[in-house]
Amino acid sequence: MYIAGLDIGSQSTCAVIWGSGRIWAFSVLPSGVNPQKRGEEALAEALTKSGLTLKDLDAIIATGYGRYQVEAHRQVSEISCQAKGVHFFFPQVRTVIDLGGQDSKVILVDPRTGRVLDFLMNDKCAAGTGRFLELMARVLEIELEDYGKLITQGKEDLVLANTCAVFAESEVVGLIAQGKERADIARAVCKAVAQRVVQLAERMGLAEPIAITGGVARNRGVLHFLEREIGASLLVPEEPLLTAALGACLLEG
Amino acid sequence: MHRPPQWLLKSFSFLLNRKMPFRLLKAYTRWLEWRKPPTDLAQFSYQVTLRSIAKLYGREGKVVWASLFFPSEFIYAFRGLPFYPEIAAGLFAALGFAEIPLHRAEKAWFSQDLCSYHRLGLGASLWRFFPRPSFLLATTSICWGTVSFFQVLEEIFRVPCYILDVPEEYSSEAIRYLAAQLEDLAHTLKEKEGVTFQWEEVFHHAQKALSMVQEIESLRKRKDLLLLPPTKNLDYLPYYYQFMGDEVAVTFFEQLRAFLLSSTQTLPHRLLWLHLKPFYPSPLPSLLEEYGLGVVCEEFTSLFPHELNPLEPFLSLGEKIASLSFHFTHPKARTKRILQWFKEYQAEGAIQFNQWGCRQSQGMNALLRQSLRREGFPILFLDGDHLDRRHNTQEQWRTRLEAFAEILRG
Ligand code: SF4
Repeated sequence: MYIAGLDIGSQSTCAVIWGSGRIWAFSVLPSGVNPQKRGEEALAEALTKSGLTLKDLDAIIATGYGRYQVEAHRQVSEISCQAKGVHFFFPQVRTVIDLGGQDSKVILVDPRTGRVLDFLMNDKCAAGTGRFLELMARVLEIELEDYGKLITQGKEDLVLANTCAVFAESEVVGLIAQGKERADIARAVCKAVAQRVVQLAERMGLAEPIAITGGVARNRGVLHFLEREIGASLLVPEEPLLTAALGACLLEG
Repeated sequence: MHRPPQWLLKSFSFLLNRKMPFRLLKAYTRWLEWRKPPTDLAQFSYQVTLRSIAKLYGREGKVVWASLFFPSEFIYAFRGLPFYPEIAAGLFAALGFAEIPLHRAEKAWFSQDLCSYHRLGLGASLWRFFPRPSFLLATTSICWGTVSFFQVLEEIFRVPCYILDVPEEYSSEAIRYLAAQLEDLAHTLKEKEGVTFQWEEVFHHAQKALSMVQEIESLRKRKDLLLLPPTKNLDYLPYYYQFMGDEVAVTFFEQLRAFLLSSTQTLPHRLLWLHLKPFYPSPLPSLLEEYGLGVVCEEFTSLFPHELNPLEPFLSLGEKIASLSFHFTHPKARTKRILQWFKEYQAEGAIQFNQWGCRQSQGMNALLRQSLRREGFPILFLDGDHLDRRHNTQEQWRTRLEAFAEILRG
């Protein structure tokens, strides 16, 4: 039995092909403006990699914000999928922090089943999401990957007073104008994101072990400050973008 | 929504403050009642709304504005016409006109952070969209914002405002304290407004309506009956507050009971609905239905059984105010009541729609969540605004409700 999980997020679209207890292939593409088309492309790519065709699939399960825009046998919220996917990699995990492009979520997971016990989402504001890091990277004229490197070079402990993306942008511009080092500003940006996420997570009550998923999980800068703020190390799946799509498969299979 | 030009709004306000159009409306409602006696809830509510508008704007008596927890029975007892601006604000939003008064209030320096029930009420008052009050009656509960709201209304309309101080406890002392204030108020109104109080008929109607409400609550505890669409009962808020003491509430609850008994469809999950809901047209009820989330009990339509004794009117109403206020505002009492509902209604979870700027309800969220989780009941907090669309992220309701339904499914 082969199942495809399709996670259509705001930033990336991920397809996973699952069967006989293992991942056969996966693909990750940027979501772009046409989630339906991108979903089909991601699925086609994953199928090609696995050597299977659409006819071989027993079910397609869609998740993510664009889940209702693609043809699928069933739609499941990304919250349940994320929990199940992480549970596959780290069965002991009790909290998942998912930092996506447009929102952040904290999910409490039952370690016995991988089911969701409770969750909290922040989506009204870009602060604490990948979008915030992207916006600030643009102002700083750096690539997203540079954050990790830059935080090790920073010396001055700058603080961004505003976690609102719009205000923070002008604050960063102000810091640049004051001649502050780019590395120090990058550090402050990562710290601001981490603090915002921790605020959300603490409302929920963090239970260890904690895993982190989503695009921001790859940002070593934010990860560093998150671990420092939380006071615990975070488990990062090898492919933090595919957990929701994998979870979709597991919920069906 | 495209905001109408000023001249149009001014003309509308001018018309609302003339009696003639409402005399015509009254004639129309009489004709309507004769031609189309209401056979269903929607038609009944439509006719009641038209009749109330005709009475209030036609100034067929003293128009008395009251805050939500001020008992309408007191106003009916002196043949006043109760008007609840917080409820009217919901109606404005339901009709899709919220933006006009909200904008007017913001122009007058009322911050967007102010609860939209009050902001909208202030904007509509500044526009003179609401029927002009003879005087104002308020209680210091449910929240302190209500007091300030009524104090500003006093300034806008330059009419007397009487505020009852509601103690934080629910005890015989608190009830007596409230009864004494009500009695004083009745004396003052007799002297200043020349009104007289008749309690029997009003209490008779209110008591009858209340026992109907209790009957409906018992029916809603049955698993084979469900009011649909979910949260619809909150649209009937006026009958639970503004019309208590008027015969119209009795007739309404009779109709509601018949409607409930005729229901044929149920949904997989039984939920409690805490606080109020977005009143403007939104996909929320259909989303709830889509995910099988039925609402079996709403916090604001769950009244308290209380005896209304015409020989002790002030004590009776004092008890009503004290119990309502205490059970809504005292965190432990509120939580205890909610946990009791879980058992009585065999509910599986609760949803609270947090109102933007409402400290009163949100201050309790952590405690509420903790207590419910301890008992194994999940709760979902949706953040947004009941009247002001700008503070909502409707697209995100779907994900939250879907995930919540998945938790309930296990
Ligand atoms: S919603 Fe909250 S702030 Fe607004 S009137 Fe009600 S209790 Fe007060």
